[in-house]
Amino acid sequence: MKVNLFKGKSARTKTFAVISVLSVVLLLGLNLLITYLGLHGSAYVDLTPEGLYTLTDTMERECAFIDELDNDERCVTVTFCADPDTLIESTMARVIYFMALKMESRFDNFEVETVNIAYNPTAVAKYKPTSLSKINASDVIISYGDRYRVLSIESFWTVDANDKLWSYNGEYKMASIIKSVTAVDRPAAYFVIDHGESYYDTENPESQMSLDNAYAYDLLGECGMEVKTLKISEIDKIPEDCVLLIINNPKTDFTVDPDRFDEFGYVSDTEKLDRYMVSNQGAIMVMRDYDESRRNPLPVLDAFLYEWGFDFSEARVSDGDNYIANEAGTRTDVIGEYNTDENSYAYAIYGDLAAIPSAPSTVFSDAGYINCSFSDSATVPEDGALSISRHFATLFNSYDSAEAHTKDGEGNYTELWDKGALTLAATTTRRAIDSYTSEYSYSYLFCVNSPEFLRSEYLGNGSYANYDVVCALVQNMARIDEYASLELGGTSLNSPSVGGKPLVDTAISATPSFVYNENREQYVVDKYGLTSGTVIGVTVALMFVPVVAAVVGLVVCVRRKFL
Amino acid sequence: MIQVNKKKLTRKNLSIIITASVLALLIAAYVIISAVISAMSGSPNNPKPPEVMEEIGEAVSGGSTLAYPSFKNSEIEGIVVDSHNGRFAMYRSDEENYFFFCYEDANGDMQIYYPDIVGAENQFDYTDLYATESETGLNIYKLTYLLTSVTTLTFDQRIELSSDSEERQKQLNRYGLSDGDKETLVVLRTDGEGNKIKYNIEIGDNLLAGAGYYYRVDDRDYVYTCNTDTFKYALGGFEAFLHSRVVAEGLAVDNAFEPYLTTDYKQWKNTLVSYDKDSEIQELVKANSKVTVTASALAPVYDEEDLEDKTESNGYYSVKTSKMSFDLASYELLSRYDRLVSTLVGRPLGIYSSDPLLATVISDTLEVEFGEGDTVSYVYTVTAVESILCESGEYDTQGACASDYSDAEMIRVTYNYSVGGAAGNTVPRHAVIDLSDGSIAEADRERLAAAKIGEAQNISFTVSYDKNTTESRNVKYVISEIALIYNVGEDGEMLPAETVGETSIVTYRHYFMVGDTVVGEQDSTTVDMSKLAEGNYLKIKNVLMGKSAGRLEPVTAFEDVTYLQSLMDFVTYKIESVDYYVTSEMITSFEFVNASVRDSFYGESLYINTLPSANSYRNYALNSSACEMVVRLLGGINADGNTNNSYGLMGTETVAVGLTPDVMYKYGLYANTVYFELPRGIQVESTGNSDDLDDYTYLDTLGFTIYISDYNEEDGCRYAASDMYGVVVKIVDKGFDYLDYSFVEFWARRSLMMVDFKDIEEVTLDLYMDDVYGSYVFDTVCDTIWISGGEHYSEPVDGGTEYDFLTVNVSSNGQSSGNKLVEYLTASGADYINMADVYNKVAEEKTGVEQWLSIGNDTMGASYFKELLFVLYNIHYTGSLTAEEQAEGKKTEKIMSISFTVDGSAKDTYTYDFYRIDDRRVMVSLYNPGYENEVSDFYISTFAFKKIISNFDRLMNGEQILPDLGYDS
Repeated sequence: MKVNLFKGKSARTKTFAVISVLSVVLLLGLNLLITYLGLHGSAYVDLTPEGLYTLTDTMERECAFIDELDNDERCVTVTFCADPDTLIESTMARVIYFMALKMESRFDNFEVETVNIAYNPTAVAKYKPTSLSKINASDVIISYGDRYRVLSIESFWTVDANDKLWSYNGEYKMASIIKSVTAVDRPAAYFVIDHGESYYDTENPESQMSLDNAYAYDLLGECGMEVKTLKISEIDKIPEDCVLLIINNPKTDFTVDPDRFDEFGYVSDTEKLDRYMVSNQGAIMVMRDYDESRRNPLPVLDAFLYEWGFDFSEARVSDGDNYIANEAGTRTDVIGEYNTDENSYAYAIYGDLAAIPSAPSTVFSDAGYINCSFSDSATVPEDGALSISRHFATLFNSYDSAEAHTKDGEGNYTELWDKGALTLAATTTRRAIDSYTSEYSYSYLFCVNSPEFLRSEYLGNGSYANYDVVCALVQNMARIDEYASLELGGTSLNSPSVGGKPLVDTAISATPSFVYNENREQYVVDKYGLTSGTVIGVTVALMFVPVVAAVVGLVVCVRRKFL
Repeated sequence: MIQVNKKKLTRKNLSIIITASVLALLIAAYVIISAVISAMSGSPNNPKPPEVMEEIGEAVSGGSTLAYPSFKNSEIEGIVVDSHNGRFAMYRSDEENYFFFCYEDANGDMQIYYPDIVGAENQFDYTDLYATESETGLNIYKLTYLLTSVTTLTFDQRIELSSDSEERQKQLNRYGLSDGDKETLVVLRTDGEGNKIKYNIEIGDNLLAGAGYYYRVDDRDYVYTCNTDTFKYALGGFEAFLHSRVVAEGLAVDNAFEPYLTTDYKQWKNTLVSYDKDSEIQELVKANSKVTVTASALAPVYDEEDLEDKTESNGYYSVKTSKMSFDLASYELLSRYDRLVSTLVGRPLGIYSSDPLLATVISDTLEVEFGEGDTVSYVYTVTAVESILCESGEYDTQGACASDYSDAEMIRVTYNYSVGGAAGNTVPRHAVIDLSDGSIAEADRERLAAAKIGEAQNISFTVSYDKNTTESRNVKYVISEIALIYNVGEDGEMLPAETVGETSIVTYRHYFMVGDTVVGEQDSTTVDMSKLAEGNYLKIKNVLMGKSAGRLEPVTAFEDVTYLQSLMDFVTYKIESVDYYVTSEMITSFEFVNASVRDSFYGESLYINTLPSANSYRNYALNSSACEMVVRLLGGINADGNTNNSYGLMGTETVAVGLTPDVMYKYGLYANTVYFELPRGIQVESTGNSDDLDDYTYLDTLGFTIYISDYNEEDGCRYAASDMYGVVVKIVDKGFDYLDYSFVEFWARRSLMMVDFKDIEEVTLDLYMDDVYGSYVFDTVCDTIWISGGEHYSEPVDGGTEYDFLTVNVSSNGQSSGNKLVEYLTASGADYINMADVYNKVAEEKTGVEQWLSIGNDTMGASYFKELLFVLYNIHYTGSLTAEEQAEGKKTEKIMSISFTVDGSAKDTYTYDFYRIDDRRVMVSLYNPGYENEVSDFYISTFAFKKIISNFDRLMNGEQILPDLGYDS
């Protein structure tokens, strides 16, 4: 049955009907227009006293290089992992999102995209180098070509000791990351080579040594680093672009000149390492051979590592219950036990694996164990410092069933030395806090008492978790972004002394921005309110015109009708 | 009218009604029949007991069959147990309503378990020594469990014994009740009418199925069974009834302070060396060791009253052969032990039963009784010579006399004596006579020297004693501390008082001295001053009057004089084997020290290092956290420390009683020794801003010598015992790992130094490096000023804030690698320059404008000097050095020296010398003139060393001190 809406209606009625339809269409169109202008234009007015939604001149200046990048069809892309409405709902995400949109409108080579990873989780798969990698809805991905960084929204903010946001440091963060991913000179991982160390020789990739380290070489490349070599005795200091220094199974000790010990200005090789570590961006990996018969004594290197928390045993670890069989039948390919304490450093590295009951094993082949050399606890203050500490944290222990044996008179590992959960790999983290910005900076020194750790067949065997664990560890240790921010200068943006835009109201808690709602099967926003003063101001401003119009209308009506 | 709607009952409804009725009937029948069957025959799980036989003493109570009528626990006078785990007994105390324990010692003698803690602790409750039942969760004394069991001794079955003796014996053997197998429990009871009743219970094997025993009462012709654990504790051994406590719990009024405020903590690591029967070469006993021997002993008795069962009528009290321990170190100042020490030291461990070693310990305890006069004569008649005491040893060879030995010094004799014609002894007396004693006539001594062992003698001689010439011994009563002073108020209330007055109640500490030697431990006494009216009490009063609470320079209140006979008392040991010896190394020693008297240099530490000054570790301050951890562990305070209870150290199980050498050896208790004192009756003397700043006083102390084994891998525990409780307990807690560490590893504080800037008089810095050198003296003055309105005042002002204002004047010897300070000093020609001026001048050079720089209330120079001190305080020792590394380190050139003088005297100057021993390590030697040795056990990192120099350099160049800067350029 056909129904004619206008049949039998008067012209007046018809006119009103058309006007109604047009009004609805007009309103919808207006809504879309305002939304578009809000997102891509300048319909929003920055009411925040800190200027959170305003791109500063300094930021524009620091990022001006973006338009000067080689235009080879690459552009700087900022990918948000949630829909725009979700981002706008979140106070913390909104500021970053609008900053990115401002930059998109300001720079030609800059692009902003949003991906709802709840609906389309594979959209960001290319940013996960290993199965351990995880990207959350509250993460921001900044990419340029095949280089990228994944950051959490929280990392754009500065928090105080009580977990309260007190400064927006997003411009500095954004600029430093963009500089990092667009840098012509990539951050480098250096293999130290002047003590008989094992390394990947780019000039002779077919050598046995290079083949031994091929997986490590690939891994470092995948983590965004260029791999170089370094003779530490021939340099004055560790190069600026070094974000990871690898000392892989040294056969001889680090050199010193005892004749210069009473010279204050003498900088020995280990002091170069030490200076690198205390410069707030050091990252060193040491793979040491526990068996002295296979190398020279290393008292100088050992004393340096002892100072940083590592006391190496010369006993070899074996495990009769938790091992991978090897040809020699020694049960020395020991399986490390995953630490399931969610507050531990180890869990932060491989927590996803630890949570899986049938997770692939991480294997330590031909390893000794490590004791913490710090006297009272795993954390010690740095000598003379007020706000710097060093934390020794175990990355892997053996299982309780492990035993450590030293050599008997005939050179066989038969003398029981220790047993139980023995530390196979550990990291000392140097944590410094900036007294002005309250931002932490970290240096890392990782040690494993095994010459096989990087060379091991287990690194290249997908049946084991070694590759994933080492990759996660390297990504945690290598301060690639700090390398970029060194060029930028830690306090160069926004404020000469603080860095960032200090919040007038610091009542916002730095809790995660997005929470997965199982009922709704999507991420929802933990809403943060504007400050009460701002709310009142905005409300008054918005309500002023309608209220005035209503009052005036009322007065006019009354006067016309009754007066 | 009511109308009923009649309906015809359908067939279906009828079926339902019939079915329901049948079911109801069946259920009722089941219930009734079950009850009847149960009443007639008992349930299968609880078979009906036999009819009681009252004629043999059985009874029924509460539905249970009893071997004898039940009675109240309070009627039990005692229980005596003789089990496979030993004999023990418990008897009701005459005065108190509790049982005290007796047990069989290693020699088979019954001993009363009356540990030292009973006498040491005021108002000690003996029942605190009882173990509680923990398995049932009832938390009752195991003793109560036993008492209840024997007052209602139930049985489930009665088995009649055959009248045929052979068959009867077979039955007894079958149930474990033969003479060789049975265990016995005797119950001693006094009933309400005062009748003494005794139940003799013989206990056999466990039941074949389930818990329970076969037992027999009073030789009846029946064997009973019981299905309960009635005798579990009784047969488990005496230890099961004793609480596994090692250290006493705290008093509620002391708020768990006792462990924290320990008045003494000492710890030794011991090494035990024992006889190796398979070795041809045996270790030699070392001096100052603790030696354990197998020996018997003889000691004289003086009166018939002293004669007991074990004492022979020959006037000797004898101790039969057993293990005995001698702590040779404690005999060092006691000459009477010289003969025993010389007998043992250097002696190979081994068996000497074929020719036992004799060693006599001589004591001068035979006193002269002068009566009314000042002179008296004793007539001695020696009737036998027992042994000859020579320098080379002691001999009792028959027919030998002292003249036969060129090194004979003394003889041990049997004698009688008389005074004024009256016999002095009723039993034969024994004594040692010094053959060189001039108070005995020479002719008499010659006769004594010629007297032969084994021959009857009758050598009489007279010794005249005169108060003016006779050897005497002075015993001094020394008062060392006044702990508390109270005055009694009008209503009898106790009011704290500042000083001791005529009517004060005073608690003071004192000790005795014999000659110059302190004897025994300090003791506390409380006196009412108004009642100290005469004699020695008056002398004590005179010492105390007008004094305030606190430690005193020791004052001798009075002294007593005793006069000594020429003949000497003794104990003779006959040593059949020297089994093992234990050497000790003192690991640490400390005590809590009140805030107001803490050492300036180590002032932040609650505990002061009390190692002997000869011990090099005396130089190091203690790690307070380590000390607190240990005292908390021994005091039984939870790790969180948030409790008002110190429960004392307790184990999980008592495994032995009596700290005999055998027990000590068996449980490895020689491994570690700890002496731990708990103060009692604690009061806050003065209050600071926190607990750490308070002063405390106490009434008395309880000292515990604790023996702790090494970790026992097999048992997964340690064993511990204390002299106060005399029991060995099992301890599972792993907190005792600290016993395995050395002073350097655990006890020493790792921070380089920590001293309040207000206490510093002077800091000197000497730099000896090639490119950084110079010598500087930082003379500091800290004045108290008052700040008001930004102005500084030297006198208090209204509304002013008190402030410690630091002034630092620096002088230099002029030899320097160069800095602004030396530059200005040289230019001015003055002896010193104020640190403030250095910073002002540097700023003036930069700005061209005269400056007066300050930070807070300090000048910038003083403020950064304080900051530099903080840098030093935050330097920590990185690790320790071996003795060889220390020796090597000393061979290198000193590269820096820093001295702190804390009160202006050389004695309180602490000097740190720095030696770079290798690439990463800078050895630190610490020296203080007050102690004997320099110590160099630790090193700091090169990083830390360079940071010190960098910041000193910054200070002397008027630059900001940067603690967090890693390396300077």
